[in-house]
Parts: sequence; C-alpha cells; structure tokens
Amino acid sequence: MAEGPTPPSAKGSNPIARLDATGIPMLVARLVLGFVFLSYGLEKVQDPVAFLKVLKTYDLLPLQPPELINSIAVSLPWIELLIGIAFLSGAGLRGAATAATGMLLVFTPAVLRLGISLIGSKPEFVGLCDVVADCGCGSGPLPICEKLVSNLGLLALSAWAFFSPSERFRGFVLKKDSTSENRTAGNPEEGH
Amino acid sequence: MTRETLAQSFKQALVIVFFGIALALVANASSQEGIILSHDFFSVAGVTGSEGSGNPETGSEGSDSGLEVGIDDPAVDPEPFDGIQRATIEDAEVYFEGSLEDSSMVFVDARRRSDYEEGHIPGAIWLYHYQSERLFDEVREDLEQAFIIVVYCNGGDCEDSINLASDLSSLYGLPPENIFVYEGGLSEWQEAGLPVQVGGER
Repeated sequence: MAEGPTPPSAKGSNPIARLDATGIPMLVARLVLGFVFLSYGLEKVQDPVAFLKVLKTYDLLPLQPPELINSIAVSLPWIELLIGIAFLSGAGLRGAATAATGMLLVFTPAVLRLGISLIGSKPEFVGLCDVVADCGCGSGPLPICEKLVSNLGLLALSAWAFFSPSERFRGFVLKKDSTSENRTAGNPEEGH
Repeated sequence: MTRETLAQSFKQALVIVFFGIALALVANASSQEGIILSHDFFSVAGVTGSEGSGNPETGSEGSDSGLEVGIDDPAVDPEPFDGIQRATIEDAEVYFEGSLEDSSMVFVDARRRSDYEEGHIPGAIWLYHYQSERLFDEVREDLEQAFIIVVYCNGGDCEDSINLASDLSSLYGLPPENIFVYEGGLSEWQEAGLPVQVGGER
C-alpha cells in the first residue's frame, strides 16, 4: 500500500510496466477470471456429485478415507466461487490471484495427465487433441486440447494479477486508498 | 513485489480457502441433497476401471494371432472381478416379467431423481446412490422382501449401479446372492424398445 507512486515512476521504464500502469491488463484479468471462476463455481456448487465423479476420474486422490475426496468435491466449488467474487469486487484481490494461480498450476497438469491417460480408451481418441472429456471445469465434456490452451491463458492472466501492483479500477472496497494515492502521486489528468 | 505484499497475498489466499471450506461444509450439512462425507461412494470402482482400460489394448493387438484374441475376448468373459452378479438384458427382461407378478423381484434405479422422473423401468424403486443413506429406510422393506434385486443406472460408463449394489450388501445387509447389476442400464433398455415409466410414480 506504501507503493502508491509506483505507476508514475514505472512510466517509461519498460513496456510491460507501462502497459500495467494503464490498469487495463489487470482489469481484463479481473473480469475474465472473475466470471470464469464464478461460473465454474456456481455450476459445481449446484451439483457436487457430478464434480465428485469427475474428481475420481482424475485418479489423483486416494479414495480412502472417503472423507478426503468427498470434502474436496464439496469445498473446491465454494472456494472457486469466493475467488470469482474477490476478482470482480476487488476485495481480497491479491489473495484471489494467489489462490487462482495455485489452483491453475495444479489443475492444468492434472488435465493434461487425464487427457494422456484417455488416449486410446476409445477408438476415436487417437491423439491428445482427439480426447474429449469432462475435466470438471463446470462446462461438461470438452476437447482436452482446447481446455489446456484456455487454462494456459487463464494462468497467464492470474499470474499477471498476482505480480501486478496496479490498483486502478479496483472495486469500491479500496477506492479511497487508490484515489488518495493518485492524488499524492500528482496526477492532474485524473481531474478532467 | 515486496516480501510483505507476498506474505499478505498468501494470507488472503488462505482466508479465501478456509472461508470456502467453512461455507461448503455448512451448505453441505444443511442441504437435503448434501453428500454424506464419510460414505465411500466408489467401493468397487477400481475393479471396473482396470477392466475397461484393458479391452482396447487387446483390441489394438490386431497383428497377433486372431484366433487367440477371439478365444480370450474379455467381452465374452462373464466372470466379473468384483464378486457382484451381472444381469444381461435377457435376464433383466425375465426379472421384469417377474416383478410385474409379485414383489419377489424388484428393480432399483441408482440415478438422481430427475433422471428417474424422465423415465425408469416400470416398478423400479428409486434409490439414488449418492443419497442412499438417507433414502434406504424408506425402501428397506421392499428390498428385504425381494429375492432378486436388479440395480441399474444409465449404462455405458456409469458405475453407480455397481457401487450401490456393493453397498446394498456390505452396508445395508442385504444378501449378496440376491443382488444383480444390469450393466446395460436404462439406455440399453430403451434402445430395445422395452417399457419405460415417466414421472415420479413407480
């Protein structure tokens, strides 16, 4: 929070910092990740059994004791929901970015592993990009390749949100702080 | 990014995770459709999984002697590994005729309520696998009277019928020799043009 003057001082240093200082990448990241996590979470919250079955097909978690896989199936959707809300509202934004990055870092390799394990399980699943499976992402069966690409995109966005110091366009929760920071940073264009 | 903001980020993430878990447990406990966390829903899942992945491998070994493949074709092997009896569609038809006459033969639909209402084998008892602990007492009497119990779900990849069949004997004390799984499930039943009951009534 003491880093209020960061955006102006970043100006001119390097293109990425300049781009970040506009606040646009962070805004895009928040909107995209917010809606994605919110919608994935909502869908799974309504049907934890479907998600439990999908978790089982990943074959990553031990089935014993049953409390472990059952609790994860019940909890993950709610965590996704909260992450989505945090991204959209701006409250707990850094935490959401951290949690989202962590989840994507775990799930993306898991989806890849699931896809590889399904190659050959059906005659039409010749290569990785032929595999269609329910990855438990909340949208039913999907081509695994497509899913991996979109996950990498989400990972890039959440990594940006994690590292970016940008406070612009941040929701009502921290508006006070960011406007006062802008003033101390001496940004006259804000007034127009 | 300073060390403090990093630490704060992780702290916030932990708060989100713990808050999510707390919300989830409360919602799950207070919902009629919540999962019973201590219930092992996949008691026989491993067995059918390995069986399923074994088939295509033998199928792709086309260059080996075709005769041998024909003989050990796993699809013809009627003996499952899990000790749960299977019913073919022919068996199921016979049991269905029997179920119309008296209560000694009965079908059990392991699918969710909405699937059951969309269409089920006429006379089938609804016992959703993921809520069987809540639902079993209502159907206990019917199941204890029957000496042939045929459990089914959608067919295809669905394993809920097998897991429910296993629970019926191991958890609810029904004699395993009475329990059969109709693996073809409702999809095969419907494709064969056999009768289907729509709505919540048995």
